Amino acid sequence: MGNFKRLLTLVAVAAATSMTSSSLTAASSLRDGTIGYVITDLFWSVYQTEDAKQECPRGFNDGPREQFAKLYPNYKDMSVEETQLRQEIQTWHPTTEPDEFEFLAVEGDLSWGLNLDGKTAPNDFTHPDGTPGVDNEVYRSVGCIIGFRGPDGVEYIFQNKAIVDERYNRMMIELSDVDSLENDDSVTITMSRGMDRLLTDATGAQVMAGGTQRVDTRWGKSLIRQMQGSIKDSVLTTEPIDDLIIPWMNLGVPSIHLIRDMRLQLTLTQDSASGVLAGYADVDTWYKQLIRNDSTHHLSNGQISGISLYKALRKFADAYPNPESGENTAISTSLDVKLTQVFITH
Amino acid sequence: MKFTGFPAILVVLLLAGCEQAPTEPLDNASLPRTRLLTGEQYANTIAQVFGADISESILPPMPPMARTDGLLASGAAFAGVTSDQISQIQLSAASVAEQVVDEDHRGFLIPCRPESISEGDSACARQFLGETARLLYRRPLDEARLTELVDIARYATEQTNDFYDGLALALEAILLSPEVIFIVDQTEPDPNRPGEQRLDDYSLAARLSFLLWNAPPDANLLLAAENGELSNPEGLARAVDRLLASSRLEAGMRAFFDDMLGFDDFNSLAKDPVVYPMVTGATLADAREQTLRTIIDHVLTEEADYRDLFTTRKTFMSMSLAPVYGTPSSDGWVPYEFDESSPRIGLLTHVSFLAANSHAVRSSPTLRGKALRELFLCQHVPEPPPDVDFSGLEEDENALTARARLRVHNENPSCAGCHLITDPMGLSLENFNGAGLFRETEDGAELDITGELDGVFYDDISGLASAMRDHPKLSYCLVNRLYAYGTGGPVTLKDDRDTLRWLETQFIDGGHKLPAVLRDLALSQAFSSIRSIELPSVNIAGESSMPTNLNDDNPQLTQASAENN
Repeated sequence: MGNFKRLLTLVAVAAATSMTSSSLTAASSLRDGTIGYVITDLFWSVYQTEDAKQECPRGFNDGPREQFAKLYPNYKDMSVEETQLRQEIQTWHPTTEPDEFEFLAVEGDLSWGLNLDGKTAPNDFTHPDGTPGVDNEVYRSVGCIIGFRGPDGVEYIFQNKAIVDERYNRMMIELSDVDSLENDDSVTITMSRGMDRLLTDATGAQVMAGGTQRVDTRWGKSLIRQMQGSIKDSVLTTEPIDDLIIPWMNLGVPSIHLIRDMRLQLTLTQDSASGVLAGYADVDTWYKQLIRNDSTHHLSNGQISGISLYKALRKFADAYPNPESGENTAISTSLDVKLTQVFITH
Repeated sequence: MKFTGFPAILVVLLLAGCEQAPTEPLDNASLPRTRLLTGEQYANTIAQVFGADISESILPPMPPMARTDGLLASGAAFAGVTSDQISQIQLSAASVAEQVVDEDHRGFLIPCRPESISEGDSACARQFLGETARLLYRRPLDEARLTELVDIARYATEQTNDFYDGLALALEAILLSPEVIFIVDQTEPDPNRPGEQRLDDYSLAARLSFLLWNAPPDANLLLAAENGELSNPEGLARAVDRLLASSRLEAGMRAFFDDMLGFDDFNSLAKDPVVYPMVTGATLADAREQTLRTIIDHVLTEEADYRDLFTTRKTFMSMSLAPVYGTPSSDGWVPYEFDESSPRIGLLTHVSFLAANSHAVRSSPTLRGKALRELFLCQHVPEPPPDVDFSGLEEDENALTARARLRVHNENPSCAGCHLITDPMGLSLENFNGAGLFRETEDGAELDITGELDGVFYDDISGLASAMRDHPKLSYCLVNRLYAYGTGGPVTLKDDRDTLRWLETQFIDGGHKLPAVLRDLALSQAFSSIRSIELPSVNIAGESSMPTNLNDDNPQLTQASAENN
């Protein structure tokens, strides 16, 4: 048997053909007008130029380590309460009062994202494809912080990785009433959380299409949302819904993001989808997710000063004013999202 | 309505009903074997006697068997152990013995307590070693041998001042014994066939138990052997029916089919991750499990016709496997049925068969056809000659499909001969790539999946499945493999033809039901009767395992042994 196999392997080498997983999928993933996708990549849309000169001409923001060095040059002569703990307290109880550091916001004109309010205002970005009126003030806040920039920013790596690793984060969309993945005037989109691990392919690098996910209807019931949308030239665009809760556990700490006026714009295929999830992020929820999931150790690694960033988020917040104070509580944002086809069972 | 023909039909039916089932030829007998325990049998032995936790704590130290006439189990009849393997067995024995007597296990594995741990307790040692050795040797020990073991324990206790250390040393000696690691068929004169031999009751018990449970006899079966119940038809039938009714039959038959289907190949099977990214190690492991579950459910749970395994659309599905089949699944293993329009029909379209009999980067009609014949029809496909010329094939850029490539290859008449045996049926499975995933085309070229199996022509996969199901050698092959598996070695046409013919007839007449043919085999004369051959004189149970230098070094022990003897 061994010799026989070895001999036939010679034939194999001559005739080996390369195939992709998509070419191996015989049956359509769209079945009975329904197709499901699971989120495999999710992170804040950060438009980056090669040397960052366009969006961050004055460089990047300092992080906790750099700020600490400037604030406490004589920290060895001071107590922990006067130094480290003071910074920790401010990190966990941030205010909008100015600090002594200039925050470096994005200064460029271009940004990924959507026009959320239907207006084109002077402060809006322009999409790289030329579309004006893009609302993405989270980008303005985090775009010049190293930890939020790919491909090796600490947030970029770990928050995204957690999307795949943690079942807690297993958000899915299911399209129903679909006649065609190319064009359909009216489709229904349901978002929910799955319960199962993702199947990675033989390389270990990619989530493979064709897996199965059961809907978490018990602990994930409050996460279920439904919306209407349409597909044009394989691009799904949804109507905004009031809010979406994104479960986002990172480093074992369960947390959430709350996105108001959430809508999707995704390019669809049989095996995958990609595009943006956009809306207005609740600022306090956004900030808590960051500091709950990442200690000062991690924030320092990405030069992320929570203290300074919170002030910036509140400064650039552009929606949902507090009825009493008038201060905006939400900030426009966009998340780059990639999804892989799964069969969703109910 | 006239009924004039009715009485005649009735007579025919009555006569048919009264027809005697074919009886087994009187001279049917099998060869006595000495076969090495397989790794799984060793593990099952340790688990049965001492518990699964101890069994799972060690790697079974048994060497791999050479597949012989289609079965690893048959290779066990020709396997020996090297000194290095003995060393591995000794290490495992020491580990098992140490765990059996440790504080976590001694309370329930050792049936007595010594009066003094430091001074030992020969009565307690005798009780434990006698009971344990009976289970491990699969027969009771004679008094002399037991005394030797007790002396070993006592000697070691004296050296270590620990009764349990002494017990462990004696247990290690038992686990190292040839009688434990080999299944030795011992015979006795057969009163029903004067001048001939049959298995003694203990060897018959072991043969039955390893066939049906892939494990040594349990206490009840040993008791039946001890009481001589296996020597009379009623007692034997009672014992066999108990084994067949046990849920452990499933494990036994899983082991048989895993062996018959050559699934040990999965231990080293891998696919090119670039060519087949959807096929992971978990996929292949589940593919093997899927087929075993399908078989066991079909032949045991449903007690369905064995042949229908090749046309059934019923199977089981897991989440890891489902993407390869392009279907949803659920958590764990769930029953699954391919719909009528699916190209998946029967075992030949399982990922296990398709992937195991392909290359790492592409399918192989030849390997699939060869496997189909050798695994399920017990036919032998010759090895290719060492000087095959592939140059014509390699240079033909127009040969996009396997059929086209093989056509070029088979322009050489010396190649065509063997490929005619394998390729027509293998090409019918070309809708499945080398990992078992469905494909409409190969390299953009349409696939011609028409074929022929021993004179039966068909147009598609379901045609191949039906031709396979109805193949006249299918039933014969299963009973051939079962008989070889059960009696511990390959069959020979010269000696076993009549037995196999009778067993095949039983199988067919019984509706191709596995439990029925297992019962027929287990109760058959051939299973327990031994063919006359010249055997070297052996005295298994009376042979000492005592290291000679142990006696030499310890006059007291030698004296004690002599007194006890």
